[in-house]
Amino acid sequence: MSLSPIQSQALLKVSNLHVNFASRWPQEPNVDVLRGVSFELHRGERLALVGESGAGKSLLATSIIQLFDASARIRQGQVEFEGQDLAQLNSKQLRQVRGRRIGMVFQDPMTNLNPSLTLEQQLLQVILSHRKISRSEARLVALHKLRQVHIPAPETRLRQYPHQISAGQRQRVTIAMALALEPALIIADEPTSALDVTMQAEIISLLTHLCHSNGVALLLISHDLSLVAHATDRCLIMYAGQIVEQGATKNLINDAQHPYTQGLIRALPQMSSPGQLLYQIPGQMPLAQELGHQCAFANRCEHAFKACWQQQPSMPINQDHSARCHLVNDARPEEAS
Amino acid sequence: MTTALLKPLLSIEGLHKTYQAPNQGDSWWPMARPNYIHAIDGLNLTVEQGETLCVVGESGCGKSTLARLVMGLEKPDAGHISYQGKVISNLSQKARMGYRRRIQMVFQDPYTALNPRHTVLHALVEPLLYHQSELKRQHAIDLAMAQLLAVGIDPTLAQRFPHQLSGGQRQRVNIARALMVKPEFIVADEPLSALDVSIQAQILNLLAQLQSQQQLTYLIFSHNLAAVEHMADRVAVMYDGQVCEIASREQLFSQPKHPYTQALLAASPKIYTPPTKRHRLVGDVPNRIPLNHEQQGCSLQDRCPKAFETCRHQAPQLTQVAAKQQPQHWVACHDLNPTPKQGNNHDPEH
Repeated sequence: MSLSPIQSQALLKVSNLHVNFASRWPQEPNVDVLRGVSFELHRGERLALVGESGAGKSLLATSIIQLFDASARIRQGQVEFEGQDLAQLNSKQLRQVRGRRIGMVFQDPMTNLNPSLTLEQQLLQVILSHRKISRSEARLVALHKLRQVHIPAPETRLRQYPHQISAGQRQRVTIAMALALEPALIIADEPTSALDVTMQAEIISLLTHLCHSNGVALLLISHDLSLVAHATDRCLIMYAGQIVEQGATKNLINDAQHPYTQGLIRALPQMSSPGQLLYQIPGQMPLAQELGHQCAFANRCEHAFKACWQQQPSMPINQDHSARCHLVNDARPEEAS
Repeated sequence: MTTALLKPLLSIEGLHKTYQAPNQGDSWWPMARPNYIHAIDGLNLTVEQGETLCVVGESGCGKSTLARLVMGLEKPDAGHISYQGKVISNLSQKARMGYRRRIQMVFQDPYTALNPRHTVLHALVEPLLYHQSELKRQHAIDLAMAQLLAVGIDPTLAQRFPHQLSGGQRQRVNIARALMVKPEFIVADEPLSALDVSIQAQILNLLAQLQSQQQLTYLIFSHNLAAVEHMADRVAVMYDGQVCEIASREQLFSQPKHPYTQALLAASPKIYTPPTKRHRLVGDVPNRIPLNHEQQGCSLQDRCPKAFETCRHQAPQLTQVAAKQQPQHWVACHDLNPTPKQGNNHDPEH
């Protein structure tokens, strides 16, 4: 059942998404925390979403499948996935999409798995609640998926509980679970921030490789640009509830246009020689209710000029690489047309 | 920065710490033989006055246990830790108070390290009044305000509670609290891991700035190699409760010798260089609860691509790589020792 005709080739098309939280007091207005997010994700594409904590990365990820807090609400905008607008679906219809068409890998594999169920019970629950197959068939699917994520001796693992396996293996099990129903999109929300560097490298390369070979699109959320630099095709930089820069990951890193992206790269310890002071972006991200009509980054930007305080910059559309910045868009008028 | 003539500020010799784990396997029988986890297994380390020593390693290698032992929060089972030549586990009650004033800790998670019901000011004043009970309260408050300024926090935030601060501000408050009693030595257990990249830069700068102002000595535990490369003078790599390589920063990052160090460096993400598949380790950190601690030989043997016969039955010792050119570079690996080896057919690395 599709509510609207397929308008484009994009697998996921988020347009002008505004999400707010119900305020605690009736006299306070509800403030938008996501303020007009638009992006497209094509089949088989690996997209990174980078930003500091509080920028709205996780809210954006959970807004796509509406797994967010009960007080959050999509105020405006569309989330078109495989031709249907997820924002218009009721909870029963959403359940058909969650897990089945969109898989999710969360940050902490320990809290993401149920500690009182064996891995078999959890994997089979995912498979059997969406597919009409027998338990033994579902078990074969689960074993196959565990092998795909390189879990040694999957038959014995199935009988074990989450606390009996290591953190890296736990995260691999959650990846297997997300892949179990052959979804078209996997959303991975900081999948490695609870893991060590050696595990991190392995999980990221496994995730990106699996998505690539199965033709699954990946939305990889991280706060570390150097982690996504070589694992994704395209990259979105998020700041204060907006996308401030988007482009092919390679271009974006080699030729960052938005002062915030430039700051993120310059702040990496590897960018300055040992003993020197590191570059730091001054100040901190404004709260959602403090944002007026100026550019959200203006108070921290070293290039801010008069226009930045008066008018919110817009994001040029239909460009391979674009930034939400007056400096970029006015300095290069020939590209903006 | 350091000279060989100076006596080390902190020295750790033959340290062992064992914890009792639940009974073997899933046995329900209460008399079953208990298991032991060897969290620290014969560790030697020295920290010189005024240097920054970073200890890196995966989770489960014993970093946090070592931090707790150095702080005197745990007692070692064997071996000793001495500070300025005095063994800390033998200190009298009174001398221990003095030790605790001179050595302070910054904890990993700035969210849980502060009491949510105490204001920032309360958090800062409390350790000061504990250690210097003769101090007037107003004087302590003045000192706390000055310390807040020194770590870059607006003193108007002093009356706020931790939940009203951002992650970076909370970590600054943690650092300010550690500095309140004018310590000489700071132990920081993963001070950056809960923070964003942009906040990490601020905290790294703050640590460097405080070190040069107050001649602090840092012992920093981390698994963030990019940050370690930026701030360390010397780096010790820990694996399975032991130091497997220790060297100055330049040597460790330019010529890592131990296969584990090479794997760690290869796995650390870099923004402009694509990751390599070289030096990749197989498998996980060994689960040290089951029986296999009686296994002999090098603890990395199951994951090491270069493991050969000697590694299976003999544990490697820390030895100097080249005493003349690199006096500070020590590594524990059979592959680098001149002893004859069999069944090993890889090309030498360097």
